Amino acid sequence: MKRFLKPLMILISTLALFIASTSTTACWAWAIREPKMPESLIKRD
Amino acid sequence: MFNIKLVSKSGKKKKVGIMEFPERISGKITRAIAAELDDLSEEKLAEIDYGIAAFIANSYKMAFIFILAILLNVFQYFLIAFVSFGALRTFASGVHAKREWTCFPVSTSIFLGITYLGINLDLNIYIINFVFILCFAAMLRYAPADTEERPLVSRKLRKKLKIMSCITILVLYAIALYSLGTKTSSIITFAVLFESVLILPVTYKLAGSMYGVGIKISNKREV
Repeated sequence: MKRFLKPLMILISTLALFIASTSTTACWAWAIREPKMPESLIKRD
Repeated sequence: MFNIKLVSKSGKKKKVGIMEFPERISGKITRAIAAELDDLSEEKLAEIDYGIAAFIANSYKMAFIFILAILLNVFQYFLIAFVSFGALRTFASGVHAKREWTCFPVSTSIFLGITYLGINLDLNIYIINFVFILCFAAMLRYAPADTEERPLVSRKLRKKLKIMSCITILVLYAIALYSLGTKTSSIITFAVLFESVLILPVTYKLAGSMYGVGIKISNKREV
C-alpha cells in the first residue's frame, strides 16, 4: 500500500497543479461556484 | 507549515465551520500529499489545494446534472446547452455563487432551464439576431467578468479573454444560424443569453458579489 501511495500523491498533485494553472487563464468553474484562488496563481502584467 | 486554513489547531475548528465541502476534502487530501511529498513549498501546496477544490466543486455537481439529464431523457439537448454555455463561460467567466448550497440548485436550474427553454420555444431568425446582438454588446462591454475569488488582474489577459469571448459568441451565432429551425439553434441562443446575463454588473449586485475586482486591483497598483 505504502509503495503506491507516493506515486498516487504525485499523480494527484500533478493533475491539481494542471487544473490550478489552467484556471489562471480560463474559467474552469462552469458550475456557479469557485474556490478562492491563491495569490501565487493570479497573473499580473 | 503550509497556510491552507487547516494548519493551526487553535484556528482549525472555527475555519472548518465556514469552509465549504470541496475545500474541506481538498484540505484533507493536501495534508496527505504534504505528509508524503515533503519537498513541496507552501505556495505549491496552496496551488494543489486550489486545484483539488476546483475539481471537486465542479465534478460532483456536473455528475449530478448529467445523471439528471439522462433520467429526464434530454441528455442530447443538455449536452448542446452544456457545451455552448461552457465554451462562452471559459473566456467570459461571470458571477459565481458564494456558497455551495446556493450553487447546486442555481447550476442545475441554469443548465436544465436552457435545455427545456430551447426544446419548448422555437426562436425565429429575428429573435436570434436580436439576442446575439445584445449578447455581443454585453461581451464587448463587460467580458471577462471576474470574481473576488479569481480576480483577473493582468490587462493583457483581460484583453485576450475579451477577444476570445467575442470569437466564441460569433462561432456560436454561426452554428445557431446554420441549424436554424431546429432545437439546437434555440438551445445555443438561450445558453448565450444566460451566460451574458451572468456577466452583467446588475447580476453581480443581485448576487451580492463585486464586479471588476481585477480592474480595481490593477488600477490601484498603477497609482
